[in-house]
Amino acid sequence: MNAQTSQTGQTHHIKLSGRLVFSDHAEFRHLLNQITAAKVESCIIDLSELQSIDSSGLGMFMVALETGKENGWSLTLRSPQGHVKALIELGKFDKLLNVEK
Amino acid sequence: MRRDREGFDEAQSHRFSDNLGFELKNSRILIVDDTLTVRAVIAGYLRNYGYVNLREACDGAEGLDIAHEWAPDLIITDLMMPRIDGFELCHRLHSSPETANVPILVQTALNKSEERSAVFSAGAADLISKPIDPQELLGRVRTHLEKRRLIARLSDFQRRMENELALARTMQESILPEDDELAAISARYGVTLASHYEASIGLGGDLWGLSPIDDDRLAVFSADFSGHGVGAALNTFRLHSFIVGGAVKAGSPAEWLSQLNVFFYDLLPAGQFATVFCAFIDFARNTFDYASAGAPPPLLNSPDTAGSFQSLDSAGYPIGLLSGARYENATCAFPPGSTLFLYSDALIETPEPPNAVFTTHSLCEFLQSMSAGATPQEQKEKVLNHLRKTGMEKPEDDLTIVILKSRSAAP
Repeated sequence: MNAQTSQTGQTHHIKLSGRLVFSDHAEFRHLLNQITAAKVESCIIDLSELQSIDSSGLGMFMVALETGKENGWSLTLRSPQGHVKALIELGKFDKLLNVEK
Repeated sequence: MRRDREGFDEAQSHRFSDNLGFELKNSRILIVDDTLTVRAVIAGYLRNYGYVNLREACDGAEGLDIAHEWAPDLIITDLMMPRIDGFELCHRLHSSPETANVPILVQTALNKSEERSAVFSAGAADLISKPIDPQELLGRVRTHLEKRRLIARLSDFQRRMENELALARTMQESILPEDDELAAISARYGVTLASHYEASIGLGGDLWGLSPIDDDRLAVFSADFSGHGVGAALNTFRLHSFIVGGAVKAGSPAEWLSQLNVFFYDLLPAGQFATVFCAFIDFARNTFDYASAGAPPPLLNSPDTAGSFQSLDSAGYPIGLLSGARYENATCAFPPGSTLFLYSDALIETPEPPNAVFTTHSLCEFLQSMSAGATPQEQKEKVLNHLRKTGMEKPEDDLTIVILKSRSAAP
């Protein structure tokens, strides 16, 4: 997993690329702590360059949603493509999470 | 202040002894030197520091014998000695499996770097300069003994974990359907079955099973818990307990998934879930009902699909994510000679997309390309062989394949 982060106003932006899998767990948790520490109102995770994801990766989005609820920020996933998009739809994650095209 | 002949005062010597733990103090140290006084000086320093398990050898040959018979934890040797010298001693100790890992400290007066590097090339762990400085000697001895002890502990720990995992693996294999169970089900319902289960890292998060409902109906399910390894494996045991605990009195696959979801929603922490497929096959009506909690799309081949493999719609909330999640039943024709092909995501995600060997679509085509008479066993083997042609020794995720074919109609 590669993550580029930036902030505009009250929004934290994360652009993920590569693959998001089981072994990225610790690093992803670290990203979540950063968002909370930034005291923003929302976080947008751009998935347009994320090539693949496994079930743990999808689970991390659910953890992000919970973490946001507990710490007062909202989560949006943006532009999933290909395999990532297919898996999000297969597990109806687009109904559980806010996913934008 | 009274000093003993090795130059330590008594108080200091006691303090050193206290610093050496029981294990370190009892470490076996072999001193190899052809000069009696040098051996005595080294032994004296060590004994004063608290080491109690010392032996001496007067040359390399005797040193080698003692090393094999006594299995020392550390050897301190001179270089120039009659019969077998220090270099040769290092070589021989290194080439014998029993002594290959014993740290060897070489005392040397050699100052040129190439001479010193020759000592390391011979297999020495460290050098001690001559004339011997007690602090240097004791420091190096302790460092190497502690390192050896840590490695031994880690190796012990690793061995123990390997044993534990091997036991857990056997336990996990035992909750998968057994051969006699499969044979009984094959005979009872007139089906041919083939299956494959392979955990990615010893223990896996996949589980599949068959469960007779009545004389005409058979339930089949396949589940994949997120993640892999111990955590995911423990979840498969929870699922297995849920099923054999008799909790399953569901009237349909969707109802069963809802029950599973209620059970797991409270158990699984945020971010953990399972994708599950379940079908109730009715051999009297030649149909099956199914429901899916986000499992990879199963493939179906039946006379109704004009003999081609087609994927089923398997979208649905994974188990354990949404309180009160509801699932839908769908019905498919399953006349004699039909095949249902279930698999976990590793089959279409090895190597990772977009480079995966199979997609659901290409898997359909691959199965299609085989002769119509291919048995489930043959289909399974060809799919696995094709997957392995890519050079992937082992999928990165747990791999399960289950193929179920109903008996062809009598001609």
